[in-house]
Amino acid sequence: MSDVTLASGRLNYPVSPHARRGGLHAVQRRVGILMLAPAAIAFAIVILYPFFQALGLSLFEDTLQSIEPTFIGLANFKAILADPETWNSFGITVIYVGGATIGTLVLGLGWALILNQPFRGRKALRALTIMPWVVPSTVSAFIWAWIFNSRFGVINGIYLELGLIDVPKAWLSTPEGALIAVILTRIWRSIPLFMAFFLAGLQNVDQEQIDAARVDGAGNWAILRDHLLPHLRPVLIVVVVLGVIGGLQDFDTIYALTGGGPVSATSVLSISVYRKAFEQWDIGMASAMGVLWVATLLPPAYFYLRLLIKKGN
Amino acid sequence: MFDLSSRTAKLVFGVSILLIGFYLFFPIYWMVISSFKANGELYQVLPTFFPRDVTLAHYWSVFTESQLGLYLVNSLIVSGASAAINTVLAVYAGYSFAKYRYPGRQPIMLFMLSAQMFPFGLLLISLYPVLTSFGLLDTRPGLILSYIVFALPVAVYMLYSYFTQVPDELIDAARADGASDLRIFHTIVLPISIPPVVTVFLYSFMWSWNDLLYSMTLIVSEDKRTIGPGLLLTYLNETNADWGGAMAASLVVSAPIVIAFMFLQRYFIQGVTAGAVK
Amino acid sequence: MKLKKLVIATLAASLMASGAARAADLSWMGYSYAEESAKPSVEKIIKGFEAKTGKTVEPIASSFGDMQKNLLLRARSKTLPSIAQISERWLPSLSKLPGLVDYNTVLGKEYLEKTYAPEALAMGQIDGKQLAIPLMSGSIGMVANQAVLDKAGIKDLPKTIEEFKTDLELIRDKVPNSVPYAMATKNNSDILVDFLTWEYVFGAHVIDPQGKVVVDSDASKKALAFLVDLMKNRLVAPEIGRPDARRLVGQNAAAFYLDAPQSRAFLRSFSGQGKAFDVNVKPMQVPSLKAGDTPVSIQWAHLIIAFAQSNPPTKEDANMMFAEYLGDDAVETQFPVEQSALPGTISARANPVVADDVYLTAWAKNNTHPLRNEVGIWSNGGELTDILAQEVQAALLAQKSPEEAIASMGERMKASMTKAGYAQ
Repeated sequence: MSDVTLASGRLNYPVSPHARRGGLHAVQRRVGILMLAPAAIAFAIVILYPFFQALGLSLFEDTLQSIEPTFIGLANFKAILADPETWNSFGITVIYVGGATIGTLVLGLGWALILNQPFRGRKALRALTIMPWVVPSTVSAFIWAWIFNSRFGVINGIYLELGLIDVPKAWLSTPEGALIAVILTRIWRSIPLFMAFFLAGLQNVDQEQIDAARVDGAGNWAILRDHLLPHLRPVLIVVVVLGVIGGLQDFDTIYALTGGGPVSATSVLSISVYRKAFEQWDIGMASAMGVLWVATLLPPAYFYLRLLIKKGN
Repeated sequence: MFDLSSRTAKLVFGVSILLIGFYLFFPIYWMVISSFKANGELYQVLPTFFPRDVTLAHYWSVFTESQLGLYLVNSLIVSGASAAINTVLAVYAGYSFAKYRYPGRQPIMLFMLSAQMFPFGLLLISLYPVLTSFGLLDTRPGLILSYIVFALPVAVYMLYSYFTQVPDELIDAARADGASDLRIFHTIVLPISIPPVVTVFLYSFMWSWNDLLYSMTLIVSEDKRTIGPGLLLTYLNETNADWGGAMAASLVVSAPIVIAFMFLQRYFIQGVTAGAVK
Repeated sequence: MKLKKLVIATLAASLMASGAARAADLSWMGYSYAEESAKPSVEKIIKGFEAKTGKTVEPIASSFGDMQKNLLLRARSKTLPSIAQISERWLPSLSKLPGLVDYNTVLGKEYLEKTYAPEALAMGQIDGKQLAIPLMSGSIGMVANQAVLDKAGIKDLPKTIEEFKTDLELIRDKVPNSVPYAMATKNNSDILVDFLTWEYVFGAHVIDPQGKVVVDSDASKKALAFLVDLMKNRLVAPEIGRPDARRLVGQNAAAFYLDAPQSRAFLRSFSGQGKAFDVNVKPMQVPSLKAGDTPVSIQWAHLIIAFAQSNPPTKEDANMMFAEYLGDDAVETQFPVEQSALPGTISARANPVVADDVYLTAWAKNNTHPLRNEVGIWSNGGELTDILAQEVQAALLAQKSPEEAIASMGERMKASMTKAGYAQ
């Protein structure tokens, strides 16, 4: 639908027809740059500069013992790659981000489809759905920690009442339990945002087309598969980007809920970097870990985002 | 959209709404009733699903003993200001990306968006000395500026995506009338772009609103503390583990924003519809 | 246009901010100031000092858990406070911070030895330098809850670990839904203290004074196996940190736990009964391996470090005047007692306020030979603590056998110590 072409290895982005007429005046170009400037400057100060600083720090031994950082080349990276904790952390991050994103996709889409049906109380339900998204993340961690509490939690209460267990179980103390808890919390927090996006996408579905399909004998499932899902594809792409970014950067919920534990069962990368930097005081190592993270993510992110930018046109 | 006349369809619909609804709302319900239970009832192994005796003791202690009101105000100020700055920056940048052509435009944009993947904790390490050198450590302006990190790139993208859909003919017509580009933007484009701008504001707001990491590190003075660390330090810290108080406080700090969002969510959905999705 | 406004606003704000920071003669950064219950006591110290000297103090609150992080970040950005309150086990890792004052060179060794009790003063010494002075001191020992013991029909406090275990079983059976021993099983630094205590009880050590990792021993394995056995028998419980333990003891749902003498102050607030709860708080000796062993406890103190205000620092610097004021009876008979801990100075300890306090004297009598925290003191203490806590947790949660956990702890600690420059 949009001209996604790679001309002589160079990206050919669709721009306004006005620009394509080739008559863009220097004045207008200057206006464009001027408009970008504030955001670019802010970006450079708060994101770019710190990032390059960190890039540099990853080549230094910079711990509490060393008053002045000493250059050690790639030694930090060597140490990190040899440390099984790093791989553990990468693995957990994949499970966490993947599990949370897929879970939210399914439930967020399901909920949007439900709230797209006409029924009484739909409006109220839509308004209430916003709640998990807007309670502060610390609050959501509190709520879920309390639900999973090993002594007074409601999950234990229900299990005990049903006779499924004899003594309260410490869910957050088992690696699987803790991981499930943080993923459930993340999904819970993100459903409303995903739902809003899907609901928006469903607003401009062509009803006539669907009616026509129904006349042709299509059932609900066929309508969903053949009409709604293809229609929602662009939304899906955006939502996946937001979900992955949100999941990768999530620190608050996990920190407040499990602190990365038990042992390191929920130590996703954001937690590991924080621990290395602010609990173990190894700034060089923490930076190296962060750089490794960026290096792993950047190639797929780059291609994916390029797709996204084209889709926007 | 779906035809719910058959029995199976009704069943699937009913079961789904119950399950997802339970998942979404039970935790909220549990927070609310826990906040009204007295400690004796709260700390028992088999919980009650409806409080036997409703007590306001936890709320009383929230309002009399804690600084929660202060934290809430701080969070609103900081999140509001950073979301406003973010939105203003993103509005211009998004429009610039969408409607102008200059060298480096695409790479800059791609790079900006990719930068959203840089771990925030990593940026924090270097941001700290930056803020210090500007004398902004432990200040609200410092925190506000740092919060730009969280949402600027996505905000720019969302608005870019929206502005590409504003017809060029609109702009060209005004240009033909001799209006300056900035004037066109302010008087013609911006007024029809309120919903996406609100959406971006809310999106940015939520990032700052949720923050724990930056606020915990960049703010040490109690009078500037925001709700994330405030809640953590007051209710589940080295010297405390007060679940009843935590639940009451959670409800109190969430209430204003929940109410505000219920009113704003119509704009939010409109904005999403108009913007990132087409 | 907008940019200009933004820049101006930012500049204005930064000017205002830096103006405010320079107003006071000295800044005090501490965690007591961040704790609701201790804040008034800190304010009293500051008021007293300001009244006496006419100098002004800017207090900066930082929670206990964030204190080290804040000091490190401030060192990097050269905004260290002039005085900081620290836990004794952080001193070695903070000892490299730039500008740290050696009190011997300013206040004089003679004055310090005349003023402070020798064992308290010793906690502030590193390589012959007096880098910290004690604000209050004591030890981490065991506390029993009399009300719970009564309920279980236990008359005498347990002396050996066999008696201890028997009592715990009694409590488990007689006091429903209780955690007999509220051992720390969550929060790495809490786990460290509890595990170290039992290491010492079993005659094991984690790291020797030269920095050699010695944890991989039979005694260590026995110590950890003992704790795992307590967990299997539901005599201890998962997901308990120090605050949870205090809550459980305060609510009469746990009989024993380890804490600093401040325990009494915490339990007053956690029980909701105030001083009326004091009758239930019984300092006791940590049970020993066999009868007659010296009971174990771990050194604990709040220390004060200072960062030079002039080069070299002199007695006339505001922060040195403040440091000197902290040795005054006005401070030492007030702050430590209100926090329910022993003062560091000789004269305050002889003061009736302290000497006649039954609880404090009982505490001192029960914990006569506090041992060093041999893990937290190394410059890589943070990493060592994480390793130890992770392995202990893994064993307690039955992910590893005690033997495996100890062996792996040893290996990982050795690697960490080697990297930090201590030959293995």
